Amino acid sequence: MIGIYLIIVFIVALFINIPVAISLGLATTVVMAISQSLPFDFIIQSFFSAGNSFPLLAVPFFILTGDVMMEGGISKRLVSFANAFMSNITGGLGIITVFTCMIFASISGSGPATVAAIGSIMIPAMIEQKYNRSFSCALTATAGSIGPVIPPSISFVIYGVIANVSITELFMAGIIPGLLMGLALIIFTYFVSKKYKYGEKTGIKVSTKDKLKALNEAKGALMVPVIILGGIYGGVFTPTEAAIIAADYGLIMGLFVYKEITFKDLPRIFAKTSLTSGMVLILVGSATAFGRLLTIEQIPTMLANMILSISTNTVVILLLINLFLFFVGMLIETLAAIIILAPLLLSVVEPLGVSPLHFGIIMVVNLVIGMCTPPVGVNLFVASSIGKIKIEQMFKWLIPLISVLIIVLLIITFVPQLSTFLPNLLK
Amino acid sequence: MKKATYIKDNFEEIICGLLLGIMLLILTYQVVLRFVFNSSNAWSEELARYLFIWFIFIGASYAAQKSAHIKIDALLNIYPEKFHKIVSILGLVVWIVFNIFIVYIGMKYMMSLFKSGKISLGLQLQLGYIYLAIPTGYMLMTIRLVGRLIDRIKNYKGGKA
Repeated sequence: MIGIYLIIVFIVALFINIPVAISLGLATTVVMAISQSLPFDFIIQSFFSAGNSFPLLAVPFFILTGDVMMEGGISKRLVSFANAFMSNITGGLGIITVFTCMIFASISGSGPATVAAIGSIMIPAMIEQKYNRSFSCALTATAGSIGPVIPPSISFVIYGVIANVSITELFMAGIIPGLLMGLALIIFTYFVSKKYKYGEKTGIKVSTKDKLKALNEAKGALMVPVIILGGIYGGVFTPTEAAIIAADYGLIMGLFVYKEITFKDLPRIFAKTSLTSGMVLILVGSATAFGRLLTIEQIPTMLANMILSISTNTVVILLLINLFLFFVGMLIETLAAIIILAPLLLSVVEPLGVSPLHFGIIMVVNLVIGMCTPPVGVNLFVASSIGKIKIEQMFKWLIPLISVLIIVLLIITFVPQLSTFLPNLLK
Repeated sequence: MKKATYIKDNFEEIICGLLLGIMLLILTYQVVLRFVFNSSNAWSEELARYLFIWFIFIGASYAAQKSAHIKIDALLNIYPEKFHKIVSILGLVVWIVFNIFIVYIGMKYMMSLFKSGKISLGLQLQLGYIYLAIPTGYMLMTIRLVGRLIDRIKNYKGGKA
């Protein structure tokens, strides 16, 4: 009964336009006032203990790294690097868009940041080369969704903290699925470009000397994933230390090497990072209180029993959960959905033998697809404002592109080895 | 005078930016110490975590000030257009009431910590000072929200969308 109140209050609060984080706290408070089973100190203690976490400290610094890189001239150099090597392929610019989104994803952990950084350069370039405007925007929006899957990823940090899974292993597990998503989009782009003759034989020949020059210019940016991921996987440092090092590295490159930012820009960049962090982190505290109350009332077990009484077929359940997450992803922001749903859904799938590690990948891949679906796909808003096009006009190409990602999602769901293979190598 | 208004309008932004910078410095120091000098210290991680808690709750007020908190705005569309304003005013009122309650229980818990004199393990700091972040953050947020509520109501009476 208590569980039902909790969910009703939460949903009503969302319907009167209260932020997700506050709705979670409000539901917890109201239900505790009704049931009188716990002192209100419980809420304050939950808020505190959620924030008192060293792993969670990685979040603001990965956000800072992304913000610094975006202003520090990194994306420009990545694009010219990709351009030097791939400009002469059919659909070259489209493929370069996906490819640079993948590299940028390995520096930044955020989807919309990836779309903004790469899209602002690539969308105008594609349109100039007679790529369809709708295709260019839709492709960039979907390619940006790879951002949170290829590590480092803020989504994985949050999932790891909430579900108590090693963030290092999650970072490892995301690599193959992220590459698969990119590869699928590249193959799709190639065939579309062939059919519509996009960027066919530009005839541009880039000399080896220019290629080396582009590589040299981009090497500072390309080193970031090497440092971060090499260090984490090598067990040299924790994800939080990696985030610190990446942020320092980004600041040094931007301030002293590329010289595209100055000390005067720092307050503005730090403020921007604080704003993004502020809206994400408050969720963790509220969701911790909400989640603990759910657990005390044994809601996750009840939900699991209910669902498992309908079916215990892993395939059926995973398909249903994917469908559910897909709709949730259309409405709720990725991180909010992870924080609220990860503990609940894990209690359903764990008894079926799905590992929390594999489930984390399924969940994140599924929810990031929601970043490019209406009505609240953040990637769509960014892409549509860069490409000066209405979101409705992107639908023609969004539908096939999203379908491609859904196929990849299903493969990832039913071939757990794609996620678990690399982390197992670590052990 | 100008300076005072600037601080009033940007208080959370300044504090959060500073906290972020200080955390970055402390943790950079810790990383350098660990990897370059192969030694460790007892206080840096703990201090960074406590500053982080302040950062989170002041940051929450900053996000409220900038209307950046994650909402599901699509849900507003189930109401007819003319009700949107009144629904969002109702939401603001409920939000403010909730905040005041959190300030109240946060203060109460903090007082009890000061009274029992609980101190942190490493830094020997009164835990009450860290818990103070919660009522402070929610209090600041409430001030920002009341300001917005007044604007909304004035705007509502003005009648134009």
